[in-house]
Amino acid sequence: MAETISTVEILESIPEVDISDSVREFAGQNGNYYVRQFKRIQSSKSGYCWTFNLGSAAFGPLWATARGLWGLFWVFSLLEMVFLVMLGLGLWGELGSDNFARAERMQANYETMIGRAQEAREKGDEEDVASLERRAENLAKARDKAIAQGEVARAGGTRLLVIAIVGLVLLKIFEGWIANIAYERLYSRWRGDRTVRSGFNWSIGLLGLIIIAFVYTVTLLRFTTAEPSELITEFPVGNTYYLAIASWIDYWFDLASTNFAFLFKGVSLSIRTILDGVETLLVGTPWPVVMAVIVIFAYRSAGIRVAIFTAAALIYIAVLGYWQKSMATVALLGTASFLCVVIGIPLGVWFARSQRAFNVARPILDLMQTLPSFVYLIPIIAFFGTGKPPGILASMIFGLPPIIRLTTLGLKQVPQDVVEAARAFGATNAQILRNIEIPLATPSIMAGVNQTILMCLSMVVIAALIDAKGLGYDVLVALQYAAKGQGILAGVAILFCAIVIDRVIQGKFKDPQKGR
Amino acid sequence: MAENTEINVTEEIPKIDLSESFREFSGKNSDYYVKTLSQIQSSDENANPWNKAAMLCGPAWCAARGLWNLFWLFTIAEMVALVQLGRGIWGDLGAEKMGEAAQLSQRAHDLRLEAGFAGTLGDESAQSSVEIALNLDKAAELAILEAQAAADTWWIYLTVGVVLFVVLRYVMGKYANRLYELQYSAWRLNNKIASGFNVQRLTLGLVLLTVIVPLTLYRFTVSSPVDWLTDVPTDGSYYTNSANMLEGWFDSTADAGKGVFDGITAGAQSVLDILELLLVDAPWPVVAVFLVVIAWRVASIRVAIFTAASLFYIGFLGLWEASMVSIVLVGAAAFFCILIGIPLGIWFSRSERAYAVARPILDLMQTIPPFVYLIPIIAFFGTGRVPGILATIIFAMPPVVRLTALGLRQVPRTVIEAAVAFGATKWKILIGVELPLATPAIMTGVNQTILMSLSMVVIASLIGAKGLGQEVLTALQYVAKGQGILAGLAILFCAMMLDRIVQGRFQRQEDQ
Repeated sequence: MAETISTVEILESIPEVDISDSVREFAGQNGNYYVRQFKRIQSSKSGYCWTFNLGSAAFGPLWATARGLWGLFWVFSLLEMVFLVMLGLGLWGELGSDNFARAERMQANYETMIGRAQEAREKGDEEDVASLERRAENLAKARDKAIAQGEVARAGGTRLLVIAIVGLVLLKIFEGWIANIAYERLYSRWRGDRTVRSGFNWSIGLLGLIIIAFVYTVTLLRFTTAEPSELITEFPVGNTYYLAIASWIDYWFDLASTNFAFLFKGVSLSIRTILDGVETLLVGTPWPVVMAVIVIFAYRSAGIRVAIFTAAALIYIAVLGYWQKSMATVALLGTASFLCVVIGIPLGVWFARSQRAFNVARPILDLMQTLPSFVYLIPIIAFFGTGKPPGILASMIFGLPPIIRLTTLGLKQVPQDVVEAARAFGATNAQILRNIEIPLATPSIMAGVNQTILMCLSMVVIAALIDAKGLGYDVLVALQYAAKGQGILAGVAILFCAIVIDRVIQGKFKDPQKGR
Repeated sequence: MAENTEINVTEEIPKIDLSESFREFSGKNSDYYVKTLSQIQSSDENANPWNKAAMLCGPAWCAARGLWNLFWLFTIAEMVALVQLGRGIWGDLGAEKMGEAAQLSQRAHDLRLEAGFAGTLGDESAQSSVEIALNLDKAAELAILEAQAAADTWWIYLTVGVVLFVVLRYVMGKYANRLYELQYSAWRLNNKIASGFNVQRLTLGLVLLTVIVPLTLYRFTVSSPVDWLTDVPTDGSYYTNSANMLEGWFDSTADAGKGVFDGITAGAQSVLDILELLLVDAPWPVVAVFLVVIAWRVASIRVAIFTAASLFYIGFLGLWEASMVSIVLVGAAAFFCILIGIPLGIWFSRSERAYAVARPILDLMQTIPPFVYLIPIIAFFGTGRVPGILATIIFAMPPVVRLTALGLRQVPRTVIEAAVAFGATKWKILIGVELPLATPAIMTGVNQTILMSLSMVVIASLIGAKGLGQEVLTALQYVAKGQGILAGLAILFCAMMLDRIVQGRFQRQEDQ
């Protein structure tokens, strides 16, 4: 491009700005040195000219902290650490100590073997003598080998020492070179933004010193001594507290599950009832009917291509004998998402109205989504046992947050003036909600429904772990026995269910205005 | 609010004549609908326009008029009514009890034979067998009686069915016009919505009904329907054959691509080893100090305190090593996600075509339940930590790719123009202008990636990755509630720690 040439000319014609004062202000201590260095760096084309900062080379990480270059601090201290550990191993590390210890053990065994062979000889048991001596011989060989290995390891100590020293010298050169370049970068950032820390800071440097002293000592102790103290290798608390607290929690769970058994049973029963209805609809109804209805539904809401795909997916499922399992999975999914929608939308409306309620609920919603799904399977098993209703409950916990969030979001985004206008026409609160706010929030709510269904699906599969059956169970069994073929077939069936559901909902959601 | 004045206002509004629009909307039989729709719109409480067509034809009317939701609702409800009706008329209501009775008397018969046999041999047990057979006979008689009683209840089913059906049709006739008016209102706003009387729709509805009604009726009213109706008649050999074929294919691919898979494993393993050396092998006080100082420098003092508290929780419960193993897993997965995801994101922001190809794949990666791709991963990479990381990468990579592409696309054209005007090369624009401006979006993606990786920790442990996930899984197997919850909270704290640190960095940049 011709641009580059002209730019260079333009850049050259720009008068040099004197940065001395600004650099002096930035650097604080030793300002003049940095003025010189920065000018050199800035005038070099690549920005990587040769400079050498003695302070940095000598003190490495400490210089970096004092100057506020924390990134460099970590890099320097980590690299120095590696070489120091090598140095320590070379100097006082008992290299090969485990080999020598093994050799000693073998020596002891060897001696006992010889002793026993002696005894056998005295008894005149020739066969025993022969086998014992053979064993002793083997032990002696192994001992010699261990000693040889130990010697090699010990000799490796000097090599390690050399590597460590050379490495340290190279590292110091690198530290001296990179320091000014990195510091100049920091200076440029500081020029643009004065909140970037500048100058030489003793207290931070001291902090760096403390950290380094601590980290270096402990790490050296850990890696260079043959048997480091357990205090360093393991957190000095065993699992006693873990078990004690765990059994305390168990106790409360058991108490709650016996005292509120009626409540849990009631919840289980009501979910069971809904599920039975859905299952009759999907599993009980003759399969040609269900298949035809699904394909037509896909066609009407998402078009001919999705309908063809749906038909192919259903044929795949049917031919491989997954029909009933798939429908059972879809029934689980349907019940879970239905309950999510029924509970989630009113909650979302409430949270959109009351900021206080939302503030209370938000951390709970976050928790519901962040906590790995397996974790809340545990209390659910404790309270509701295993089977399908608990599986649905677990899916609901996982699937509720998106619908609540997106309902709230959608309602909050309804323009205030529209609501005002409705109020001016004398609409009651309920009318405003039903006829204005909810229709306007529909795209957002539908996005929530879509997310909820997909999250429920991934959870329904996992719920196979607590005996909710369905397609997830097949995958789980395949995982346990590494039956790849069967696992893939079941996995693809799940995948097809997911894609069909997703496409159909998205088709409906993309243009809800389309002719039905 | 003063409602009186408002009512006055509405009364003064001149009536708009909607007849033409009603006529256009309703198509066939328009005179009737013009009358009824305007009656409904004038909200005359006394007006009760009865829709005879809807009442008589039910779902077929809905289909013809394009009210599909109503069509499904009524088809299902009427199906329920018809099933009751059918059971009442021709259903074999006592069939179940009759079968029971037949079984019982068969058993009694067998016992008697046995007893006779034993009696000839002079066995003591003959007497008791005869007694049991007598009891069984009694039970069989009882069952027959019950069956007859059940068969006599046919009229209950019949009445319930008839009543339900009549009520449904009544509801249909009464509310059809009101629902049709709602459809009209929707159509006024958006005239793509179905309107008029459409023969095509009617045919579709009728076809559906002719498929649904007889099959369902037969299925639920006959005591033992033919097998091919209750489950898809398929040959089990399809399943076994395709499973075997896939198995063979996987094995041969795993053999053929051994070098590639082993290379990937080795690459991931080396990153894991380095991280493991840093976090697991390094003495815990060093790691703790490192994490707290990082949190303080990168985020703020509050995050540092939170980090310290979380670390204390983890250490105090003796979950230190498991937690560090999990963090290593997440760290390695996030590292690869970023390493692969950001360049991909940059590419997708440049090439519209590539993005169009990649978007469905990214969608799929997020839609598929993770269970599904665990199997191929096991097939190719075996079990252990590396496959766990690979599964995590599949699950967690999409956000960083998407948000990088999004962030780069949102960089204002003017800024790039300015950079070009200053003679910056493409490379310089990317490094010096676009990436810094896209940083907030990219950091959001990184954050999401980290959180998603942590949620995969437990699933990854299903295929042999150790760490906190293993603890949760074991707790789940033995229903050890307390241990599972404590380990789960440890996962949560790890997630929040990493999240706060990364977010803290991002927020700081925002503040500046």
